[in-house]
Amino acid sequence: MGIKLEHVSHIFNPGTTFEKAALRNICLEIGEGEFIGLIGHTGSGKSTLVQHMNGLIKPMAGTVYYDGQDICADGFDLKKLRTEVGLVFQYPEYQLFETSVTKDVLFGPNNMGLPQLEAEMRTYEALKAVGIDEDLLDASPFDLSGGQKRRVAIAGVLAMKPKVLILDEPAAGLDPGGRREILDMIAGIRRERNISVVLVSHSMEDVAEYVDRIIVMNDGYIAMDGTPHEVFTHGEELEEMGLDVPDVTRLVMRLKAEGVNVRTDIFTMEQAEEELKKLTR
Amino acid sequence: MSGFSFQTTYEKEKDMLRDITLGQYYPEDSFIHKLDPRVKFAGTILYIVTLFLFKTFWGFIPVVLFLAATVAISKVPAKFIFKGMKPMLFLLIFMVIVNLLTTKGEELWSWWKISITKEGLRNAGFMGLRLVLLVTGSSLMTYTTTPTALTAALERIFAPLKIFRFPVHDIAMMMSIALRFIPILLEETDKIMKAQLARGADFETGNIFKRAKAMLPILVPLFVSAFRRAGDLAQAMEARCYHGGEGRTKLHPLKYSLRDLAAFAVMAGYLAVIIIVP
Repeated sequence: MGIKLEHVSHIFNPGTTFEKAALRNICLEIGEGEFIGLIGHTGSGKSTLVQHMNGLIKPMAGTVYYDGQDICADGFDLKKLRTEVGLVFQYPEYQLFETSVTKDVLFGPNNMGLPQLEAEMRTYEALKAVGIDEDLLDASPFDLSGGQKRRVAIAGVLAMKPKVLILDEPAAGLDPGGRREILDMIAGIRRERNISVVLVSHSMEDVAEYVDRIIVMNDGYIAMDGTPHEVFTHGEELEEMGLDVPDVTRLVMRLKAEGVNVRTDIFTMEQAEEELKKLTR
Repeated sequence: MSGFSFQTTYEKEKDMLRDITLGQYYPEDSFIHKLDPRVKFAGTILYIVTLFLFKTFWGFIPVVLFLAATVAISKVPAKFIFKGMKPMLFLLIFMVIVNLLTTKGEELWSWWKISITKEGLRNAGFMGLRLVLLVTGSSLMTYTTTPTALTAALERIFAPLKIFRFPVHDIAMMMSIALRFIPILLEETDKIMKAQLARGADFETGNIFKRAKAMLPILVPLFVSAFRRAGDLAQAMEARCYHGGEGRTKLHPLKYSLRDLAAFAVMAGYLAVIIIVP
């Protein structure tokens, strides 16, 4: 079960000078409990792809299935799909609108038509999961700091208890400490709730050490799909696509080019340390 | 409410956003695009005036030919030209019907209290054609001229008003900023709408009050973001020492070229034809 895309294509503004192919023949399956990094440079089609997954954009060709059902079929409950496939947009803090943090997070659960008590329970759970202090619950979301706002916005989607959580550049615009905090938090939520998570990012460095599977998008098609180890053995191709491989990967690639016998499918400091220690032995 | 109608709302609203083509630039490399914006502005005014200069249907022939030729040279697809007509469709139909039914004269056909006269038919046809040509002709100007070029032209054309302390530059600047922000805010609306839909928002069901209230999750973030952008822009302008129009020079000053003279000549010829036509 999960999300399955078959030969999905999408073109923006067909037949005009603005015409642009965003997705070309995408075939993809996202299973239960997977932790996926969706990587690609700006304009590679990542955001368009994830919006197909909860039915915000309909494919122009091909089919999107959720739990085996065609989501474009007549009578398919898109509202329910959107609660099960939670999508957190880029800079989600710009969508806050309510007068208090709690009310804003309640928006999703209330739209699901849950009983008030259940909706409130989910709201508090979600706010706790993203690490918002209790004394901020009644504050105006507009008075919070940037990082706090983003957490509240993520909680707004989390409160719907999605089975698949998709986050579009959740760490965009944060300092390195903030990025790590947000990504650690997401990894923690995934472990605790046992849900599938798709992290969309243009930065390899951010997601490589968190996810179990990396999907690389380039110019609207899927260029690579595999474990981080598999993907990083193609370091040079990644750089050709304009993607920044992690610094340690670049280091071992340079060493290899200089004739040093090292593995190049390395993307964390620990792996690099281990590999380099082998050399000195 | 079924999930299906939910989807259609979004598609519908998105189409509505896409329909606002008036004021949208269509990039192409054509003779018309390269003309000085002042020429295009003057040409559009001249064109609108000529629409009201003739009294017989013969007058439409040179107008349609002139417009068709200009559209052809501009390389803007005809589909786009007529798309600008869509929001005006209701007004057009309304005007045609009113003219058709209220004009008195020689009766051609009548039924109960409704009668259609020869003059009514003529008036309706005249008005309808005029309106279509007016809208399509003026939308051609916005398709071929960037908003920046257009405001630069307006600033120059109205520069003499500065003698009366009329803030020409400031108004032109405000106009160009407003125009620049239309696509940005449309895109922002689209993004916020999608984000709220992803949280199960519902913009369709319920009475008018409920639906108005359902717009709040879109309007509040949109206003917040508009003010944030306005603040950022003001700060960026300050940082670049913007202090109004005094002593400000232009990176691309408007200059007439041979091309523009040729266009003026064609326009003069067109005007002459319209005056000669009965």
